[in-house]
Amino acid sequence: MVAMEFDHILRNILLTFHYFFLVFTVLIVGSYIILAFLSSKETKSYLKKNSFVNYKDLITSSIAPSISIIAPAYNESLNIVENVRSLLSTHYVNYDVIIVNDGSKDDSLEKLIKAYDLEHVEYLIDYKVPTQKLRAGVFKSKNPAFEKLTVVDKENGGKADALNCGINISQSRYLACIDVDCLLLEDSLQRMVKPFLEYTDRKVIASGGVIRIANSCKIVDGKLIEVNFPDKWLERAQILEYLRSFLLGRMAWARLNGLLVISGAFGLFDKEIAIEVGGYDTKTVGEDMEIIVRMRKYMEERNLKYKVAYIPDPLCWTEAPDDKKIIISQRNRWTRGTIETLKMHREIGLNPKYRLLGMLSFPYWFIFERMAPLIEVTGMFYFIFLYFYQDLSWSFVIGLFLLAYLFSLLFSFVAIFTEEFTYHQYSKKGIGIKLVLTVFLEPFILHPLVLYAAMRGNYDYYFNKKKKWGVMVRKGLTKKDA
Amino acid sequence: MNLIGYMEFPLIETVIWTLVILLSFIILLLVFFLKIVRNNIRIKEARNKKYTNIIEKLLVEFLYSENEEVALTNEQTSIIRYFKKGLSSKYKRKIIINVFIKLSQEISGNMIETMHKLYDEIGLLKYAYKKLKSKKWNIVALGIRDVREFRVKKAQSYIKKFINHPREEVRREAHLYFIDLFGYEGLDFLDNLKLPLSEWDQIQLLGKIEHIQNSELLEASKWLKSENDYVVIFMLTIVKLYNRLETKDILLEKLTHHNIEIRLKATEVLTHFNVVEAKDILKLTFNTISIKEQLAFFELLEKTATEEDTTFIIDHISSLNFEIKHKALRILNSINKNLYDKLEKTSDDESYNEIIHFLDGSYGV
Repeated sequence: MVAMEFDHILRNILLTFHYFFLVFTVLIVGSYIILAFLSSKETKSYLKKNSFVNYKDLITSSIAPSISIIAPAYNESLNIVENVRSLLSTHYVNYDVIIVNDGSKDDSLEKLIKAYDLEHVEYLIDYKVPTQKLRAGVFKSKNPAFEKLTVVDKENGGKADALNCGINISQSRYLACIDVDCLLLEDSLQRMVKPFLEYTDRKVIASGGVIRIANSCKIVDGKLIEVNFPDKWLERAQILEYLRSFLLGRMAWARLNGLLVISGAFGLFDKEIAIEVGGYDTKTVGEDMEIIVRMRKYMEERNLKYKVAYIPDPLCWTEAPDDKKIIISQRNRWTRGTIETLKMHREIGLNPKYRLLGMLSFPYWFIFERMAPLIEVTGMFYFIFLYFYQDLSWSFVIGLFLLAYLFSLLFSFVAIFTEEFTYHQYSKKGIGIKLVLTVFLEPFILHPLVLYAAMRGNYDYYFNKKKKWGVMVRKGLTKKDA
Repeated sequence: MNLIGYMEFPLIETVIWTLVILLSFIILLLVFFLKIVRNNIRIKEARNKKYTNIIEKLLVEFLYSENEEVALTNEQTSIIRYFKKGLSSKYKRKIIINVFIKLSQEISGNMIETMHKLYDEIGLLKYAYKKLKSKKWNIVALGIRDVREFRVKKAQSYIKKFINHPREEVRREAHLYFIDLFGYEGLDFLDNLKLPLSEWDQIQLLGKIEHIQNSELLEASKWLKSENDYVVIFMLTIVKLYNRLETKDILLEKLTHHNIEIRLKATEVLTHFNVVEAKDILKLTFNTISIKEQLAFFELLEKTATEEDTTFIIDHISSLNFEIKHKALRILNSINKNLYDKLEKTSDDESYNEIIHFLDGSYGV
């Protein structure tokens, strides 16, 4: 009798698991199909809209709005001089570059002082958002050729704190927050600022750009000369992952005006709103996502019409890690950042007051970004359990795994075709086959690492609170000329 | 051990394997399709480049073989025939139009006129009109761009219809057409504009206005009184750029306009002109206006304040807003040094102390 009851309970539990995984799978595949469809519509619309845009007038316009490029730097001595040179060669009429040396222990500041003929200046700072104290202070160049450059040396406070310092220093209307080692194409500011200027029925609070991987690309004097496909599988897999994420996912969310994240590597913000919400949060490692959620929340709560725009043009190129440990550390941080942000703003979730943000973006992010790795791992354990306690139908198991694998290939192909029909950056002969191989191998090369990092991220979030950013070792783009 | 042997899902299994076979087949197709697509893109790019070079070469040849004695030389006639032949293909037509537009922006003098004639002669104008009748907004916008680039003034009655088009891209092209082809007169489209002019539109329009070669002065007054707030803002920008100080009285009226953007812009323009009369109006409304406007007013004061403004300035040296406090102290320092020197140099307010320290150090900004 007891055994029968136990069987009954176990059967119900297992059935629940079965249906839970089935529903989750259907939902995730369904959502990807919808996102792919939306992204294709948005991409077409974007290209159509921008096919005859004239950016020339913006370059020389006396009424072009001012933009401050804020680039925090921590121990970037290796490439800082070249990176700043690249930022100073942006084609835009009304901009300045603020480098925030965030308590670097190396000789970054000395190198900058020497290369750009900097001198210390007294600068009255309005601390609209709190930051760590200045260390050596503010520096400007004696050379008029570098008049757009300001270097701030402050006590270490992390990336968010350094960005906040830049916000306080900036006198501009818009803030382009970037990673100092990113390579911006010359017209990137023109393209990124356009959405801010063209909407009259709503306020554009931020715009995000596509981040492309520059490993193996030919870069000379801070300019991208030739796009190449790297030799290392880990780098290739990340290229594919970025294409999927930026050309499919984010593009689709941009169409819905539901973007929750703008990459910390390159984003443009309305300074007024960024200050209103208190700048970047220094307590989270996911400050790039957190500030967008907070800015959106601010607008929703005031019932103001707004938009978070997205530019699919390949404007910002960055170096992807080629070391497993660094990838794990990076993805671990992304996971913790996501958990922190979602937890911090949990009142938004399923709250009709926040409309699309509360009813769609936030729950989607929670289920398919925050929970997905946990559900995937639980699914794996569930299979192991079934292996030991039940005569598994191997045909079912293999079929299911194959199906999941084939779906992942399908979405990778959709991303690649989107890339081919739009920007076609990997145009060299022979890259096609490499792309196909990457599509087939990526689920075995990168996905396990990402999954492991996500689990570690969860563990660290709950049991290792002291863990902060982790180390991100850069090799430098200029030195990797093909 | 099989605890739940009765949990079999034959239907799901069948569905799964059907999907696996289907997806495998699709992915196989995609692999081949990718190969074809990449090849096609490469071939198309090479073909485009080749045809573009041919068209460019022929067009330059046509322009340089212009002979005043004969209407058309033999070479020119054969070039026209070649162009006309190409127009029947949509793909070639697109390249021909792009080359024409590119080159028209690079040449000058008589050649431009010759090129415009050629544009009409080979029948491109006919295609531009066809575009204007399209139901697709992007094609219409391209059509307007074409007639603008080739200065087809007779198309104006067509283009007028697009001044208030629901798509801003079409509207913008129509507005640019009028300014590009008719100079200041072209700005008359503003009389009929019912829809917004975005900042992006304004930048594009100003880009064209700056190229107008006209010795006459631009008459801005009537548009400063427009019912369309966007037109007013645009005109305020023009008034500032072209130093139209004679509009001062209208500008002063705008300080009490219901639209904050107009009030802000008017303050900015009056600051540009150092109009002291604005001070009294803004002092009266100071406590009711936004922080942004208050800051804009303090910028005006930085340029126009005199000792008579001391009382007003003193009232704001303890403002809760850092920038207003900074500006107030700086202005006081410049208009009434004696009084500034008598101020308490330390306070409980840390930011006050910082500002005083900064100003006393004469660091400037």
